[in-house]
Amino acid sequence: MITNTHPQIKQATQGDLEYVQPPLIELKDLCKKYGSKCAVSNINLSIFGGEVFGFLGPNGAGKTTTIKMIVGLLQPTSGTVKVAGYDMQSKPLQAKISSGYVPDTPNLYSKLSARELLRFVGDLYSMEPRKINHRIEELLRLFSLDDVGDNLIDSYSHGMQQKASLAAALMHDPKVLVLDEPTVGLDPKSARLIKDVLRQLAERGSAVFVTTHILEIAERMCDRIGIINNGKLVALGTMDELRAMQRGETSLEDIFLSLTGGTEEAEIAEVLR
Amino acid sequence: MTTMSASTGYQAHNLWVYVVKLLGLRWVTFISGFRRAKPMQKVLTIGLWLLILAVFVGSYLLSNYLLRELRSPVIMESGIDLAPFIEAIPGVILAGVFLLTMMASFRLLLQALYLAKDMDFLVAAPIPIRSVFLAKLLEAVLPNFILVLVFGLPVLLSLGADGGFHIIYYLLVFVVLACISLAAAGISSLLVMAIVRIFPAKRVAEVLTFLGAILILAISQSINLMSNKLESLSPEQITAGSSLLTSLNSPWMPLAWGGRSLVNFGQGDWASGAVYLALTIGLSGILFWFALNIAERLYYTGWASLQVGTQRKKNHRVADHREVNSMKVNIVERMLPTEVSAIMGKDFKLLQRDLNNLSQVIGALIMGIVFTVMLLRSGGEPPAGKGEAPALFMALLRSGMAYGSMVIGLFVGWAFIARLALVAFSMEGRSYWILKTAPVSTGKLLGAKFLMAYLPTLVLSWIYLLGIAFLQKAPLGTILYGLPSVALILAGLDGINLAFGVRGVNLTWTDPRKMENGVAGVLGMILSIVYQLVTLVLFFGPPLGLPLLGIPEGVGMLVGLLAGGMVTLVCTFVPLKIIKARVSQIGEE
Repeated sequence: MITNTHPQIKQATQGDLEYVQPPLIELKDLCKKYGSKCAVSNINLSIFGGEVFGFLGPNGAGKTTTIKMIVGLLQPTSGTVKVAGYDMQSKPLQAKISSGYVPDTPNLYSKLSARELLRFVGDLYSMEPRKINHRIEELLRLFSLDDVGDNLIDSYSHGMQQKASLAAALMHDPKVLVLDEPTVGLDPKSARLIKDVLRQLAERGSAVFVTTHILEIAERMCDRIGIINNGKLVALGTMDELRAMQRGETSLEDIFLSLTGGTEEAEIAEVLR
Repeated sequence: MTTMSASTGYQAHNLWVYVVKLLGLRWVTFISGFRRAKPMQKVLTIGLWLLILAVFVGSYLLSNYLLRELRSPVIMESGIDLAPFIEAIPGVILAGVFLLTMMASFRLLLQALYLAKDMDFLVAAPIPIRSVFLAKLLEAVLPNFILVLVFGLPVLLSLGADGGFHIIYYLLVFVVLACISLAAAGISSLLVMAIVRIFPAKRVAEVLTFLGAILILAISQSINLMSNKLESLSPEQITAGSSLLTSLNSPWMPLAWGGRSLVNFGQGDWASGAVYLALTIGLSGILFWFALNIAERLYYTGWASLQVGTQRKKNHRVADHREVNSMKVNIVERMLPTEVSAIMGKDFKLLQRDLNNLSQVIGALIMGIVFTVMLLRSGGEPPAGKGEAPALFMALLRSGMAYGSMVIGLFVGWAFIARLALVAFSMEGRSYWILKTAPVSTGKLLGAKFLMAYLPTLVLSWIYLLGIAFLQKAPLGTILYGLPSVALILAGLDGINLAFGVRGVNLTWTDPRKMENGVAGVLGMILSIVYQLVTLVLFFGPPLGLPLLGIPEGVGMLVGLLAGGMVTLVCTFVPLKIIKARVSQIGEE
């Protein structure tokens, strides 16, 4: 049985409910089925303001499906998703206005410039025009896109598109930021920038939900980690708690592989023979 | 190399073995796609091949008939000597094959060399790079060769049958067609590389699609306009036209050599035939070999993939657009919710900048211009026909011509709005997640998409209506009646097409034209036609019919507005109401 082990939850179990902040992301018995195939099965999870939550799992484990349900791209088969206290099914607009999303592939409007894209996103989130202009310049500068801000996105490299995508997600200063593999294809400088941005967002009280295959990033950056395998949440906790759970395993890589199953050495040797 | 071969078991093969392997991969892909296709798609594929066969047979029969007509006593007696023209036909056909193959291969080679993204994989594989290029060129030639066989071969075969040519003619037809197609593809490959060196491959593909759509439309409409002229051509004009084509068959024209060799062999003039055939095969071979070598070298040295862009120019262009667009959007912003105007502004920019989308709407404009010219040339009079129509019918038709401006305005509007509304959601493509994760209600999203299709269409239709009405000197009452009628009919068309666009939405298509060919597109078009027929009767019936009963036209207009208005409003809102729930599910498949 996986339980929430965030400090605030511990307080809750001790009875100090009045001191507990409500979670910014709350998943209850979340399920998603495609026909008979169960992509996500009974996930219960709470992410709080001020934490960076790492969501790990092997390919096809259900990470992206979970994320899509959190940001309102997919309707759950059963269970609920709450973002900033609002149910994504019954109050989608209120839930969405608090969240930002960076997908695994930066599919942006290729015939818009980054500046136009950010203005569009600002309008979608009903931001004030003056604030939109200020924010656009701020974000373009932050992500070193100010020189190419008027070029069409289809002329951008993958990394630049990824940064434009992150800038769009940050445009309205969301309380909840959900990122699917944000560092894929980025150079070390850009990857570092993104990590710093996420850390600072958390320090300012936002909840950051991030998936990554780079376990080192998860280990160093995330306050808590959840591991999903075959649609089920198989581990949840801080690094110390995960280590305690998996006796003898010290690195996140070992913990991850022991929970999700890695390729045996003999098998590798057989293939490479 | 020997050590390597021994240790890895690798053994080099003949170049053509690799070419066959690479082409075999395409065949496997085709067969595998066919096997996995849905039953309906399989039926359609088989139907397509049967249709191609039918076109082949039809072309052959039509060519036979036309050749008989050209040699008919009527033509002979008219004093027109068409014998040199008939002799020039193979040369003209082969020149056409060369040019068409070169143009058609361009798009296929662009896809095969740059957009398919398998070149790196293939060039890195332990196979000769030449085999990769040979396979790519053959891949580009083969689909065109089928078209050449369907349209060019029947004419050449019927020419042989008509002229009683020697059997070797029929064998050489295939050889010459193949040589000319390969030479054309070779030149095309060099053109592709040269152009992609300057412009991005994706942009070139977009421009080609745009130009192709416009060209097809322009040709079809020109033929439509010229069809009446052809009947009234004088013998002198026909002789001048045939002389022009005959001049293409000059012995100094390399494109004519293939045709001359075929005719000479067919007529038993072996020596001349052999010379021309050798020249054709030799020149085609040299062109193909040269192109293959150069293309291979340009690609391998990196020249072909190193783009020399014009970044500075691009910046200026985009910046200019931004200023103009922000002005346009500001006007709309004051009247609409921010999210709605934002989506409209974004769609407006995408439509302007994506040539795939733009070609769709420009086609409607061209058709509108053609029909306007036809209407104005008629002088406001209906076609007389054989003069057997009842007087009442002709009187009705004459009155109806006064509303011609409205009909053309509506026709242009229909062509415009059907495209805009039908692809309104599909054009979002893979970027739809941006809208779906944003706090925008379904109603506002639908509203934005509705207005984005409706407002530009309305403006355009009204411009057509007012322009034609002004040129026709139409009465003010007719114009004042036309403006709201067109506005109402277009609203209904928008509702219907938007609903079908949502129903058949596909966010993975890159070419919006495919949307029109899908089930939703076809059903939307059928319903649009029915809707327009009904509303035209409701709007025009009373003002045209009631005066015949002695009731003033003004009363007829009022009745028309009431009856037509009710139906259009129902057709505007009911489809959107039905489809609203579906909008929230888009992108979840």
